[in-house]
Amino acid sequence: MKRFTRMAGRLCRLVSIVSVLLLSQHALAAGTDAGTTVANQAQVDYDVGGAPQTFILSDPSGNSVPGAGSGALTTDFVVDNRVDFTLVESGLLTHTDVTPGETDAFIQFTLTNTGNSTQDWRLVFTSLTSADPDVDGLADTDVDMSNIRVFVDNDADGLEIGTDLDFVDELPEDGSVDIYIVADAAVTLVNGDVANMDIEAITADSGGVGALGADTTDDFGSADTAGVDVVFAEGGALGDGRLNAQDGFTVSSASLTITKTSTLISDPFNNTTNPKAIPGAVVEYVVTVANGGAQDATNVIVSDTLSADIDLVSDAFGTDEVVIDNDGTVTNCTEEADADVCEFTAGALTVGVAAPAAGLDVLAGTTMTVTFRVTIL
Amino acid sequence: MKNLLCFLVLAGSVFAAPLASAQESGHLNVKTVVQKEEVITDAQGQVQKRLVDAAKVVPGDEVVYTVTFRNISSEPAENVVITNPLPEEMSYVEGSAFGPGAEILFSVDGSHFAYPAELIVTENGAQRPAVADDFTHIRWVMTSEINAGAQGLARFRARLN
Repeated sequence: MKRFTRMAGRLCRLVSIVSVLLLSQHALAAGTDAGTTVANQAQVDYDVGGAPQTFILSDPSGNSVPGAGSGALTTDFVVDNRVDFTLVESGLLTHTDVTPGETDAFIQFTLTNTGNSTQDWRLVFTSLTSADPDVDGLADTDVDMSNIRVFVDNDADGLEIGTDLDFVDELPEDGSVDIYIVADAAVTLVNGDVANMDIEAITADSGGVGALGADTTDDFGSADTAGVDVVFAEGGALGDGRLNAQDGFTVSSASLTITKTSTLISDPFNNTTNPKAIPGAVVEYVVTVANGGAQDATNVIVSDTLSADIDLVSDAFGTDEVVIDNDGTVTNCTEEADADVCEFTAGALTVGVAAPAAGLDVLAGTTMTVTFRVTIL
Repeated sequence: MKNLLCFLVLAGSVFAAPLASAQESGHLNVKTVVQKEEVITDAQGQVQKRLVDAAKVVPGDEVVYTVTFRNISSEPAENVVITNPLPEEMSYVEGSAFGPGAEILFSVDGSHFAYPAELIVTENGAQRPAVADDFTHIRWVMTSEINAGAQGLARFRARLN
């Protein structure tokens, strides 16, 4: 018997080691799985009158029958469901820039299941207002994005608009999933507009693959030792199984302002000395285009239809009629329809002709001036 | 636990036959209960702790295991030793083992029992002193005999991993 026990002990230790190794494979940060039965049993060895007696195993209601076959039960409890998770802004950790008219712009969040059970999460988004706290240091300007949708990358293959589900599906312990709010920016939005968004994740029961379970409820009061109860512990405190996170969109666009000034250059009698605006006098116009926005303006075209009382001065600047100063880069061009960006036809001056020339770009924060001269008829 | 369960499985065939028919009582009655400590504030605003059913236990929670043993025979029981393997899912809470009239020893392998300071763990080929997390078994060695009708208690706390 002794030998058998020793042998069994050795074999069991080996089995135990293997079990421990196997167990540690899924004994992750989230802890012991909900539903696990934890069993415990004490053994008492003793002598009577100097003679060793057969050991006695403990039982929840007491046992006095010696030996392993006494039928004594282990003292058990069932591990309950500790609902715990985090929800944070992810991807771009600042606001996402959108241009007016842009479709399918997105902000990103990550939900991580730090509890000990597979769960679903229902998602609810809200467009915030200027009355809400700032998000990423930016105040909402009381504009909203349109066509707002939620997609969850449950299959971990990136955002698939229109295909991904709009809830967190069967997220296992220690699993993370990316959540996207996808929206369109109306063309009416202007540079500097901020649309802040809130997303709320509400813990739901595991509803099977592809199906959202019912909201998980705290069964406090009906807790028992044998069943799986629910404890909301998100954020490390007793809670309600709900967490919120915020992110937002910033409208980034070009913002052009245009001004025109005139200066008398000369008249036929006074020449350049104190000239008067009389027929034959030469006037210089400067059209200024300033981009005060955050984005470059491309294909800028400046058109100026001259009054019938004035006419463009030919060869005002050497052999050219127009001087373009684009943020310090000066180019001249001619009134003829040729390879440059200027053309004067039927009393209208057009600067920014794109073909065969390259069109004009006014970069964010820069200014372009167009200078030309006319004669008073 | 594993050891014991395994022992049960391996030994069952040997023990079951003779004992199943006998079912004779030994000298001691042994009972284990699992409870949870609940902190309540009473009507006088006093904070009190009490042990309640381990109804809600989630990872990180502590439970209290209490082993009670009573001598139901007419003779004293000598050399009484209570051994409790720690459940796989639980970690011993340092300093929590308690037992009146008992010397409390620990083991990291289920075979060698000693005071905590004397236990060594070999990890990645290097030896280090054992910590509470390493303990696999707790043993209460009663320093005096348990007389007929007398009762003893062994208690410890464990945290659910």
